[in-house]
Amino acid sequence: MKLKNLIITGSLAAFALVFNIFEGNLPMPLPGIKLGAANVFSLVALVLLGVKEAFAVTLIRVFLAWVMTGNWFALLCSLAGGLMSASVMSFIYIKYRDDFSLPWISVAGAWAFNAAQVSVAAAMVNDIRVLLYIVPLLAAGTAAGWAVGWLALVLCRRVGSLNDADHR
Amino acid sequence: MGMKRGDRAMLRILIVILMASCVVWGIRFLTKAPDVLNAEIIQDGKLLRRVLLKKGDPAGEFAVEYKGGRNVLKTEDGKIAVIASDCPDKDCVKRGWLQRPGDSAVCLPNRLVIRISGKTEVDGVTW
Repeated sequence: MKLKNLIITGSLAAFALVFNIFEGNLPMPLPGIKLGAANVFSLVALVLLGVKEAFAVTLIRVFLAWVMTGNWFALLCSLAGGLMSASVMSFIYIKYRDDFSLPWISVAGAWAFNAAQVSVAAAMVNDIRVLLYIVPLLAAGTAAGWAVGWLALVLCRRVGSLNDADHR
Repeated sequence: MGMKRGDRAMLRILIVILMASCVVWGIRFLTKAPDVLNAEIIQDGKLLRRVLLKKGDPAGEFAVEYKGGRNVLKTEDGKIAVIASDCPDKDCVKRGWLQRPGDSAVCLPNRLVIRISGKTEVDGVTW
């Protein structure tokens, strides 16, 4: 079972990396906005495997994306955002699972990502007013986060049945 | 799949935030931009220079350097934009023209913020 988890975690991280790099090439209406499709796999890891694995998928993906693109600023933003978002989603999923549906847990993760993102940006340019940029990010983050969470839910339902067979 | 308690709470929070910012944004959009604006070029939190933007100004360019990084800014007809940057993302360039009070562009790698200040007075010159 342990080995199987390891393999699934690795595959999810690989998928996340591919999506991360692919969506980096998509044009976006405003700087800082992205689909966050890689988060689908962190969410799937959280639901199917657990908190540790969700963090592993996030960190591996962020680190490898940095190795492949060499973009320091994207690394800082993704690292802060990824850790924040994984923490918030794990916390809600573990403690308040009954009160939140997966798409909205994903939205909470997107908000956390946005908050970390603007904080890093504001700290970097040393200008607190940059924090206001969170408003357009929140609007986009909600839509993207919901879609990502919905995808993760569909994926968990399909793949999850394989996993459940082992638990019983 | 219905929405759960927490989902609805989050949606309510979002709606309040978006409505409040829509009001602010709407007011900003409806008030006519003054003919003379101040663009603040802020580097690493310090005001580097202030550029007067007037309607009908001819095009002008200048560069801002930061530890080997370089942004080229262009001013024209009461607007300002970053037209070239040596950073990887080029987010500041994609931002395009800034022309209303409160508009801003940010270049993280070069620690640069360009903001059109809300104040319309021209420091000292109004007298």
